[in-house]
Amino acid sequence: MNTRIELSGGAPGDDFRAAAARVGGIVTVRFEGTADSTIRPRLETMLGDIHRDALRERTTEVNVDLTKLEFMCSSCLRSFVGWITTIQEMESHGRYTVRFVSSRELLWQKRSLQALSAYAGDIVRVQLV
Amino acid sequence: LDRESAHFELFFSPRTILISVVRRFVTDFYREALDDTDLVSRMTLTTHELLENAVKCCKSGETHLTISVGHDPERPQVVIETRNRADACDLEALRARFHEMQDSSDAASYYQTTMRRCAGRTDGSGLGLARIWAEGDMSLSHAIVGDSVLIQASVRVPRPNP
Repeated sequence: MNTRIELSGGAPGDDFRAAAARVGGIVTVRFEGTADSTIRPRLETMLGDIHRDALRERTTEVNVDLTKLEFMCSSCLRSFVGWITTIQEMESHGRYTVRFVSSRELLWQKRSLQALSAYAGDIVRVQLV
Repeated sequence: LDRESAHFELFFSPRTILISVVRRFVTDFYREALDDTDLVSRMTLTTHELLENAVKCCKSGETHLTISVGHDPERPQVVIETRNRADACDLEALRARFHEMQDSSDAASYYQTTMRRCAGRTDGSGLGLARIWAEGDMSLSHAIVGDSVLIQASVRVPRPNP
């Protein structure tokens, strides 16, 4: 079963894009542009959809590609914290990991992902490219 | 460009879409003015978070953003400030966040505590200030006079090699 979930910015000049796709057992979510506070409500909905899909399909890992995400504000970071907390609070047998693919050139990603790893080292994986 | 100092001020009615425009300007400007990509990254994060905070809390009128970089050994060398008017409840919440930070042992543990608290919340959580403190590695202070609030983030940086 293949699933696609897409999200784009709503305001003029807003360059944010996100797309999630499941191909077989692998879920990949790609983010682009800037995730500012106007994005947060729709981002939360999207992460909720991804979570429900992951549970339904018994996914073991979701890949989150941030390599084209120029910046993410703390409101959107909070949405990721909420998602990861939801996974953390599940019974261990139903949990899945979240692998963030991060750009070495976007230095904020290194610091934010270190903080997320410290928050939930059992759920968060980080891959630098 | 003069590497010894680089200062700018901006007055504007804050809108979220403009914050990214300012952040990109800060990135481009200080990338040229300073030879320190890590510091510039922390400055742009701080600028974005302070302006997001101003958008959320601004009662009316303009936000005043100031960024200055200097090498006076007696003072912090990078200072980023926002100044705006805010509602009483926002000022009270801000006071509470600063009290919490003062009572906290260190930036990293406060950031983790704030993350835990904000999970699932939709209202203000103070994550932006915690992020500036921990990820931006900045000192934070504030001043409230009437309904005006000033938030200052600052850091000392090593003098560039000649």
